[in-house]
Amino acid sequence: MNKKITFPQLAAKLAGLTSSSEQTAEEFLRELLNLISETLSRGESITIKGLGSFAPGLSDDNPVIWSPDESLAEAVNRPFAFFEPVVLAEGVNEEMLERSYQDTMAPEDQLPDIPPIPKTVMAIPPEIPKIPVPEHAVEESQENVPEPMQATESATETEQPTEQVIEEIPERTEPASSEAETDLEPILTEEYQDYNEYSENHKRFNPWWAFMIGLLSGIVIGYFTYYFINDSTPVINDSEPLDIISTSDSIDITAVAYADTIVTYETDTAEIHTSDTVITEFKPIAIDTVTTSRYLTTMSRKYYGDYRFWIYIYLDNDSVIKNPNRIKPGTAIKIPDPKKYDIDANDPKSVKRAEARIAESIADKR
Amino acid sequence: MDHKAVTGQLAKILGRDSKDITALIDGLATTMRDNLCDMNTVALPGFGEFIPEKEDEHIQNDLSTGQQILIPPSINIKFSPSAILKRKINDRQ
Repeated sequence: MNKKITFPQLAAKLAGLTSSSEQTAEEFLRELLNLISETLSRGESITIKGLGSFAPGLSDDNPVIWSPDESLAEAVNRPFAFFEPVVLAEGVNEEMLERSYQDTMAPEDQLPDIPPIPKTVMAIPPEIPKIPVPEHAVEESQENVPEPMQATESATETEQPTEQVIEEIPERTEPASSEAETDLEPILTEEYQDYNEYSENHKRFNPWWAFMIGLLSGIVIGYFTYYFINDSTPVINDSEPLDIISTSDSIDITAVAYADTIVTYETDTAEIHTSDTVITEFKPIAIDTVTTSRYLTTMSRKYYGDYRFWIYIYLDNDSVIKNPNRIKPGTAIKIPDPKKYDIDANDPKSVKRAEARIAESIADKR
Repeated sequence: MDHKAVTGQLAKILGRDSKDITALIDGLATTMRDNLCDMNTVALPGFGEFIPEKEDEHIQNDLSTGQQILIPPSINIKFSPSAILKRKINDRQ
C-alpha cells in the first residue's frame, strides 16, 4: 500500500508471472519504454492493450497524455463499483450531507455489538471519572463526606459545576468514596470487562456441545430404530392368503427341523357324560410353531387340505394371536380338530363357511 | 501505433516470437494492474511514474441542467512523465 515499485521490482514480478528470466523481462521493459518514447517523440500516439494509450500533449509542461485502459481503470475502481452519481435535490450542499452522515454514524450506531451495561455498573456513570474536578475540590469532598454541613460550606467556596460533582460522588460511589477518585475507573472497567468476558464466553460456539448433542440424538434415534425393527420385522403378514399359497408351495412342510415341535394328539374325541347333557370336547390334533416360512395358511393347508380354513386355527388360538396379520415366529399354535368346525376341504359348503368367517372377522376388525 | 504493431515491432527488435511478446505485454498489464490496485506507485526511470490518486466524494454542478450531482469516490491513475522523456519529446518537436 502506497509503496513505490521500481523498475527491477517490476521486472522481477513480470518474470515471475511469465515464467521467464529477469534479464528477459528487463530487456523487454526497456525496449517497450524506448518504443513508446520514440513513438511519442515522432508525434504519434501508441496504444498498449491492458495498459492504455499514450498520446503527445499540447504543451511543453505536459507533453504526454495518458489514458488508462478501460479494464485497468475498472479494476482499480472496483471498490467503488457499487456507487453511482446521485442527482441531489435543490438546496443540498456538502455541509448538509456531512451533518446527515454524522447523524447516521451516531455513537450508538458505531458500537452496535457492545452489550447493555448491567444495572450495578449503570449506577456509576462512565463520565464521572472524566469530569475535570479540581484537585482541591476532590480533597475537600473526601474529607467532608461524613459531615454534610462542612461539605456545603466548602461547596459554597467552589464553583457551581464542581459543587454538583462533590454532592454526587458520595451518593453514587459509596463503597469507593474513601478511595481516591482514580479508583472509580477500575471498578467500572473490571465489572464491565467481567461482563464482557461472561457474555463472550456464553455467546461463543462450543463444538463439543454440538458433538455431544449429535451423539446423544444418534443414540436415541438408533435405539428407537432398533426397537422398531425388532418389533416389526419378525411379524408375518398373513392377510394375503394367495401370496402365502405361492410361498407355501416352495416350503418343505415336512421339514425335519420342525418335527420336534409338532405334537400329535389322538384324533378321537372325548365325550364327557353329565347327568343330562353330553358335551363333546375336541382335543387339538397337533401343536405347531409359527416360523418365518410357516403361517396359519400353510398350517391350514397342511392339516386341512385348504388354506382357507386358517380362520379356524386363528379363532381357536385367539388367546395367543392378537392379530392374524402380525404373528411372531415361535408362537405355538394349537391345530383344532377338523370336526370341531366341520372342516372338509372336499365340501364346498365347508369352504364357503370358512370364507364367510374370514369376511366376518375382517368386518369385525374394521 | 496500435497494439498489433507494437507487438510486431517488439518481436522484431527482441528477436522473439510474437506470442512471447503478447504474453509479456499481458504479464506487464497484470503486474501494473495489481500494483495500482494496491495503490502502489509504479516508477519507471527515464520514462515516468504511474500514480494512483483517490478522489473523494464531491458535488458537481451540471451547467447544462443546473442540477447538483453527487459524484462517488474514485481512483484516478495519473502518469507523470520523467524529465528525460519530456526533454526527448520536446527536443524532437
